[in-house]
Amino acid sequence: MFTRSRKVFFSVAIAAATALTTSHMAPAQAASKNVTLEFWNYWDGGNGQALAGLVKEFNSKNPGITVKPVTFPWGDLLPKLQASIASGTTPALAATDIAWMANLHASGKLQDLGAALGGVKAASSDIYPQLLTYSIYKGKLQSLPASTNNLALFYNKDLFRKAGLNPNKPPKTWDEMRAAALAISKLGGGTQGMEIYTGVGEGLTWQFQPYLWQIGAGFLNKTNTAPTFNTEKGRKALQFLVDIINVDRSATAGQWGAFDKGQAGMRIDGSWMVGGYRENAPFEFGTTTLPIPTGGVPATNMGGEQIMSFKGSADKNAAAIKFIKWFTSANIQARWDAKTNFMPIRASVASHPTMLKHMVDEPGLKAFVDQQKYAQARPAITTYPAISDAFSKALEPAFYGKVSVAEALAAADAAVRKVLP
Amino acid sequence: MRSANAYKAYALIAPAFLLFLIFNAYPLIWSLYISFTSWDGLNPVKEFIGFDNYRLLFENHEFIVSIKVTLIYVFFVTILSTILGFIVALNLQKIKFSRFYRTLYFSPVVTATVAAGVVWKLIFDPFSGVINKSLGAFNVMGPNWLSDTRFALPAVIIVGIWKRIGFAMVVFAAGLASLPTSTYEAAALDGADGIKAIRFITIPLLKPIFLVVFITGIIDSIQVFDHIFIMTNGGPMGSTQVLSMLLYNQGFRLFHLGTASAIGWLILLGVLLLGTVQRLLAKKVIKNA
Amino acid sequence: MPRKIFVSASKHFLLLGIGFFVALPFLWMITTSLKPPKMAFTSPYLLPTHFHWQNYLNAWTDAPFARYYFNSIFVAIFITIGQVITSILAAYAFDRFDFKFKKTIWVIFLSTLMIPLPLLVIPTYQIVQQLGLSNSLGALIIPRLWTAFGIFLMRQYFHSIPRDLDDAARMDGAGTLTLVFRIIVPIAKPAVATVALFAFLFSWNDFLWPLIALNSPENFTVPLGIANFTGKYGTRWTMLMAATVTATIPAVIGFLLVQKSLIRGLAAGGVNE
Repeated sequence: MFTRSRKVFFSVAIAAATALTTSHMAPAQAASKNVTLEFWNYWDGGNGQALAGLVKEFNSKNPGITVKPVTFPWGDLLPKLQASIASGTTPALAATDIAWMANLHASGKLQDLGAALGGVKAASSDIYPQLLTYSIYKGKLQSLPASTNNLALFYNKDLFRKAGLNPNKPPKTWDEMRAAALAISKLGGGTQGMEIYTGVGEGLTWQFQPYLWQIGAGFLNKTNTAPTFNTEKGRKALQFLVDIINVDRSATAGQWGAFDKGQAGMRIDGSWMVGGYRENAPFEFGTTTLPIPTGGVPATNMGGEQIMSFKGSADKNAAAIKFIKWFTSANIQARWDAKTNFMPIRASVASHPTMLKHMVDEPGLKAFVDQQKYAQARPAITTYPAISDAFSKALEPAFYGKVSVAEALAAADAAVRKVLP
Repeated sequence: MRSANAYKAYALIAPAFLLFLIFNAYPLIWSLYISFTSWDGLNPVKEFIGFDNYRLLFENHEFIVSIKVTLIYVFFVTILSTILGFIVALNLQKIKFSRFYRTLYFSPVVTATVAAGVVWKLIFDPFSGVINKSLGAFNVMGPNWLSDTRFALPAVIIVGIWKRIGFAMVVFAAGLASLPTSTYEAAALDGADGIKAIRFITIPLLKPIFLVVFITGIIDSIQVFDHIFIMTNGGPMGSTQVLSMLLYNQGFRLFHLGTASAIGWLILLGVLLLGTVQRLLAKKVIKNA
Repeated sequence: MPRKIFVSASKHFLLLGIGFFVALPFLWMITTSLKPPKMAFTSPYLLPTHFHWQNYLNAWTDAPFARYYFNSIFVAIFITIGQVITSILAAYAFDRFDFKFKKTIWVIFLSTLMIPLPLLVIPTYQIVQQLGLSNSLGALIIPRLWTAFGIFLMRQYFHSIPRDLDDAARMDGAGTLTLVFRIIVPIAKPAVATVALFAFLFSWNDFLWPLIALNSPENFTVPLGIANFTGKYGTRWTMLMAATVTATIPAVIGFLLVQKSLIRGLAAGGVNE
């Protein structure tokens, strides 16, 4: 009788052992026939499907290489990369937010793309220079832009009409935007004139920076060694938003998400949202370039992802390079952008017939394309996440009316200086 | 059993102990070491900086606020979920549909905290959320729950209680089931029944159970993260930033692995302290029970 | 008689009242999961009027949920078995034996319950990688094969089992393992059910560690699959709710089935110190 339970025990143990190790064995077996490259990213939903389609094409055109996209939620990709770097189990390919690049470059684990692609100049030929600030580290090209996007003004045409505003003449200046928000908020029923992002974190910083650039206050100086926002102009920019919230009451501090539900008139958001709004929004929406202050200059924030390869075995390195070259080529990028509503990373993509046709099909994108040349890059330094965090924490109370604009910016200035090396 | 059989005991403990060494002890010590460095999680170099991380934490206003927030959260969630769980368990004794009720109350315990956080966030939405819409029906202007520093913490506390009632209920149900009916019969003869019986018989007899629910409640709520992360991400203005969120942000968003590890160790030490105090109290309570 | 009805009615009233608060999110979840996407934020919110089953189909096909389910169940079963066995063995030792360092080890074990999870994630990942387990289901299972909580519960229950049984068994020539698994454990079934349930629940809802430890989608567990519906590029509410409903149901059914054993397990000796 005891032997029966022994048998059961051993069969379970063997089954377990097999299961535990097989999932780990599979890639090793595949290696002898095929090079498998894991490609970590956070492109989900439609973007994920677009990527899957392109990857399938690459795989079929490149027998011997199998690229395997693996998607993680945006907030979790970075911890995963940290863990993989710490334990030496990095993926061959990854695409990450440009804001993380400085730290990833500093890890020393990225392949030198310039060396492999015939020199930095050749590899980055007509790529927009601002994007390359995230790709080059100590003279070496360690990543390439995989996508880019910027921020523009989304507005609810239905609410515009209801408030007596012309839905085809969206605001072009700060004052016009403020007036439109006020008019819409008067519709009542909890309708917000506009949404302003006031939560702690990069979201706040990245949404506020265009205001600073437009008015001429700037964020950090050219050498990224000191903050420049604690000036009269900076205060004007912050006061503008604070007044919309606390004086006009056409926006609410801490509120974000009403626009998706058709309950806010305007919001600043990225090009990637265009497709989603077209499919899911219960209202007619429009986009326009960011309104600028009188006497200010057009400016918007640049987002996007960079693609990179972590150093591995020789054949994996070579295969990864091949994929990166293919993925960043004009033809593929044009098709990629057409499916995802990301912006062109290089001039040859902007003028590509596929892209031109897409612009016609997706009118919501026009504003973003027009703004691309005014898109500014955030500081590509390793301390940026801490700077952004400190900056947003200092500004948040101002939006709630708990501290004055002057106090908030002074506190932000001091906090940022503390973090800067 | 004499200690001659000690080696048998060690053999029995061995599997658990081995796993403990590899997956708890070693990582714990490693993180202690990291707490004394300024490591950013990616750089191969880990620079030793002594007690700086700890010192800076105590000088950091955000850290102090976080301790306060965590204590408030733990206090209310533990106490209220315990009391509510007790009341529910009491009412579920010998009642129709008890199986249905028990399953209903326990469902939050088995729901993925991520999904629960998302749904509660929408329920608390100031304009389209169910709560404010219902208040609106009574002509009451509901507050901006998750963006108001006065209401955000109560909101996440409510969700914490929601998640825990079922567990407390089950434990109390077990305790109630093991109470001797004879005591109640004797007391009823003396005219003590209903609420009196509860006050003078049930509660005193269940003191050890209250303690267990309490302790597990505290241990559990100190680690809370998921639903707060989804609902408020620690805001507004840090009013819901519990310690585990601070840890996560420092480690995984700001690349301050050293600081994050220091926070983790301080949490551990804090809980150990609380745990010791509780155990001393427990001994007293049982002695007097 | 009327008094009895009044008492009973007020009990139900109270239970339903609190019950509504408890059920609120589920009503919202189910209702939303059945709405067509554009209607996610329009009335009604708590009772379904649309039955857009397409959401469930989409949620299941958008990602290989069947695979995620299999992984979650596989992992949960092994973790449950592991925790039950290690708890039984260790608990027996703590309850029936005296040995050097007994108190110390017990305290150290219990304090592992107080370690904040994010603290251990990165070093555990390094170990798992060194053991050659990274990105496998083994990485999810092996670190979790023991839990101090299980040992604690089991020890409490064993305490109430008279030692005469042990003596009688030994006199019949039974070895320790036979004694534990063939005599003690059958009596301790409620405690075993309790430990098993907690192990299963813990494993089922676990998110952070599987996220860090797994890279290949074919190894993902259900919580990871659900998380993928809330991306940087917008949340797909209706599908998220459909996925969540399907993820929660098995656990709820599981509880429905083991309720009685669970409560008995915690009752007799389980929680009385």
